[in-house]
Amino acid sequence: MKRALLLAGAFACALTLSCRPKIPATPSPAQSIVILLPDDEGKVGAVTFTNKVGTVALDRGFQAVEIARADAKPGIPYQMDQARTQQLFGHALESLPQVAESFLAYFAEGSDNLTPETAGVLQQVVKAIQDRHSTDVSVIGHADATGDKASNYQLGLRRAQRVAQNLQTLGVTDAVLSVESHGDVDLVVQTRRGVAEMQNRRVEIVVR
Amino acid sequence: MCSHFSSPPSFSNKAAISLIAILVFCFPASALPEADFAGTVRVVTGSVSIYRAGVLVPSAMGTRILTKDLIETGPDGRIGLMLHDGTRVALGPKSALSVETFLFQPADGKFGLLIKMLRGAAAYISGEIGRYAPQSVQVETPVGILGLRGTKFAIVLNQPETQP
Repeated sequence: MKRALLLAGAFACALTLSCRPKIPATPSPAQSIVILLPDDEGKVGAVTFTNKVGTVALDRGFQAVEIARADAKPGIPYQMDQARTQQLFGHALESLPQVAESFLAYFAEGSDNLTPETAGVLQQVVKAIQDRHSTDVSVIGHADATGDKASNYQLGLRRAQRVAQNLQTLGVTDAVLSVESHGDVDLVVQTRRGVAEMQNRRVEIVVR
Repeated sequence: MCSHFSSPPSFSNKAAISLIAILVFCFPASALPEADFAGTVRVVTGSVSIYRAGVLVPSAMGTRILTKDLIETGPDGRIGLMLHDGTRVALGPKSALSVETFLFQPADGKFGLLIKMLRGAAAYISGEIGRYAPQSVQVETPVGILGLRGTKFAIVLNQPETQP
């Protein structure tokens, strides 16, 4: 009985000429669709879509545009409802990784010695690497705005190398670490040149 | 460096090891397009394939992704990547993309991210490259180019067979 039903089903399918295996949650739409979404904090950015015949800008959450072909004018942006968003993009959205974890260690002025208060942060880093099974950890040294750019790059690098050595002592394998310096280009506290600022003298450890 | 290799024929272990190292490091470098470290696999479900210069490489949690790797998912597959600047990209089933350009050197003011979306559905959340240099992030698709000014978006491409 079951088998007869299956056969009948297959026959009906063959008749419709469109019998392909279907994945209910990710239908292939007739047109390509781009949608702008609010991020984890509810912030909405902007996306522009451009092809040979037109440009469209999206700047509101759940605003979508449909595009038929590379040589077809993009459609008029519209608001997509949550159900359709979930139906089209649910699988991809659910597969987005958790955000990276960041840790900060601070340093004495002009030095690569960790402040006593932040020495303990490295244990937290090791735990995060283990918990996340991370294979991509950045150790990024930063300097404050005292001193010149070139020496600040070197100082940032020395600070990062020092932290990387300490992490290796705690059992982190060298292969997952990338040691970098951003010099004084990324100040946490915006200051004039020449101003010593403890919060800018830091190593940021990013566990991805 | 590799082209200046001209050691006398000595068959000590050390020389043999150096020779192997030189073959391993120099030969692929000259035969393959240049690829940079781009990120790691953070989420993997079902069938997922990663091809590096046409060769299948194992894909698992933690696998390191290079630029120009072809990342594909099967009918039951999904993958989530985190790039080295914190950018997050995920693919739904029956989808494919590659990270064509990944340049993240804040100290030199150098930034670039170009993702080539080939088929299926993808979701994206911008990272540090988007924060430092939003104008340097692009996604190329068969129907046009996306310029991203942050922060989260998704795309689905129509299948070629459904086109007229």
